Amino acid sequence: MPEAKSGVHHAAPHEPLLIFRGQAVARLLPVLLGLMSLLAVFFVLQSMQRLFVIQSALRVADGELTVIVPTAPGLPDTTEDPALRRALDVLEATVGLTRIRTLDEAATRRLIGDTLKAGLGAQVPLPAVITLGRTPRVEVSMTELRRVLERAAPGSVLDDNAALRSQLSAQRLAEAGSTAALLAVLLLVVSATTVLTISQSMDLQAPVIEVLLMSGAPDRLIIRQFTGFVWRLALLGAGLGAGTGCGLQLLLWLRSPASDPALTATLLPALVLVAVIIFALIVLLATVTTRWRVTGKLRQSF
Amino acid sequence: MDQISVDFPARLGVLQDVSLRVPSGGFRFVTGASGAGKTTLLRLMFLGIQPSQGRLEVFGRDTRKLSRDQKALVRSRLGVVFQDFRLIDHLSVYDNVALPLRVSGKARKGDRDYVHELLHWVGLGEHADVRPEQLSGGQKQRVAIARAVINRPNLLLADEPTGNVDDGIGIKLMRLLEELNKLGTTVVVATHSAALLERFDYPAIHLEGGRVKAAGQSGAAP
Repeated sequence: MPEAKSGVHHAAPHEPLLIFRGQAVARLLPVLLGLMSLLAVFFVLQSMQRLFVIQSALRVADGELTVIVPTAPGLPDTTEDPALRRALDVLEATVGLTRIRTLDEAATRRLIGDTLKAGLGAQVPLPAVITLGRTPRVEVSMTELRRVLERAAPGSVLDDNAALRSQLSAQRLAEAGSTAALLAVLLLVVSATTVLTISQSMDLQAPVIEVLLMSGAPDRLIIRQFTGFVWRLALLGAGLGAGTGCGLQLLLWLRSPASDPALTATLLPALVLVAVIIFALIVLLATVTTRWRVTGKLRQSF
Repeated sequence: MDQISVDFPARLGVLQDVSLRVPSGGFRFVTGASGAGKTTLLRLMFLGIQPSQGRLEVFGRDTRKLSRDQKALVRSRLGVVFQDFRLIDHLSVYDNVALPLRVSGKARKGDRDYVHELLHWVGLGEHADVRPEQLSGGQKQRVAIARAVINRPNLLLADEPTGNVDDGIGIKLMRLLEELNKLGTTVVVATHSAALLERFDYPAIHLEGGRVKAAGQSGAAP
């Protein structure tokens, strides 16, 4: 038998050691991770688009106010109504209100004419409608405004779109909740898939693991080898999946005739960010799960 | 090994009350019919399993007190030859043989020459770059032996090393193990081959039903 040559220790004398490769069931891992990434990226981006639309509507509803002022019967021009004048004075004097405008009769009829038609007559003329906006930086108390409006123009109604805003907020919450739930389920599936695949793979690789242990390999080397193996598969699978999901969503946006340029401009950078985050999450989850599973199995089986 | 018993969940009494000692530098056969406990005894020695009862010392260290890292260090002083070779198919013969050096952190300058010399020693100098699947059974077993001895182990454990090769190759493999033993390595060979036992006159530890029935001249405790 030849004598072993003595010499100076040096690190990593050869190419990286790749003990575990895509044998058997492990070949499924990149396919499954890719599918999960595709679904996660696509559905999250779809949901983001819906959230963006809801948020835009909410912003409009939040900023727009309407005041309906009952007018006195017999006046040739409702703009001369003293109650309307007092209401306008109150609104103009309130800090934080902007774009105060009284609708003309035609516009008023279009807005509320049908609703009030039955109740209108010589003694109950068409009320005046004032539209106005709220500046986002100043908080205006609706209660206080209602109180001063009631004093200036008794019977006036201030509509701050509370019902619509509440409905939109509920929609936003439901959308965010369902997306978070979907993402959580997909990540759970990623974990479960990784655990099952790695367990199966480790069972199939048991003879190789035993050879490594018999060769004096510490647990950390086997864990590193398996984690590296899954890392490579996850990079490939999740990368392709996230890229495909991103491309699919982009295609849908660009092909949509009603696509809003502002929406696209805002969501395009978000698209890349979401794809990168989901890709990183899936790769991280797969490798962390592998590390945990391999450590447990090594202690349990060897 | 002192009053060792091994129970598996599916089978109790795989080894029962086994007490023996393998002296440093010795050569021992472990004999017995299939299921007698030969492989389990070897697995115990290479710390592949823990005894259910009893005390096991390897290189004078109580294995119950070893951490997993310490066990890895102990194993790096062992060489193991499996009956089914356990070669890694996608690695070349060279990489299979060099594997223990790399995974045990014992890589040194001059390893490449040493691995090639070792392959020449087992008669496979020309096969360094081929994959195990291209080798015959006897060649694979010689690769497995080269891998087992690359770290110059203090103890070599071989489980039916000649079980998958013909008699002529089996004798050549045994000669390699003898040569290694003469260099100071303790060798334990599990076999049920009567021909091998007749040809090589070394003490045998005979197992029956998980118990040591005869320890020959092994020096084993009864």
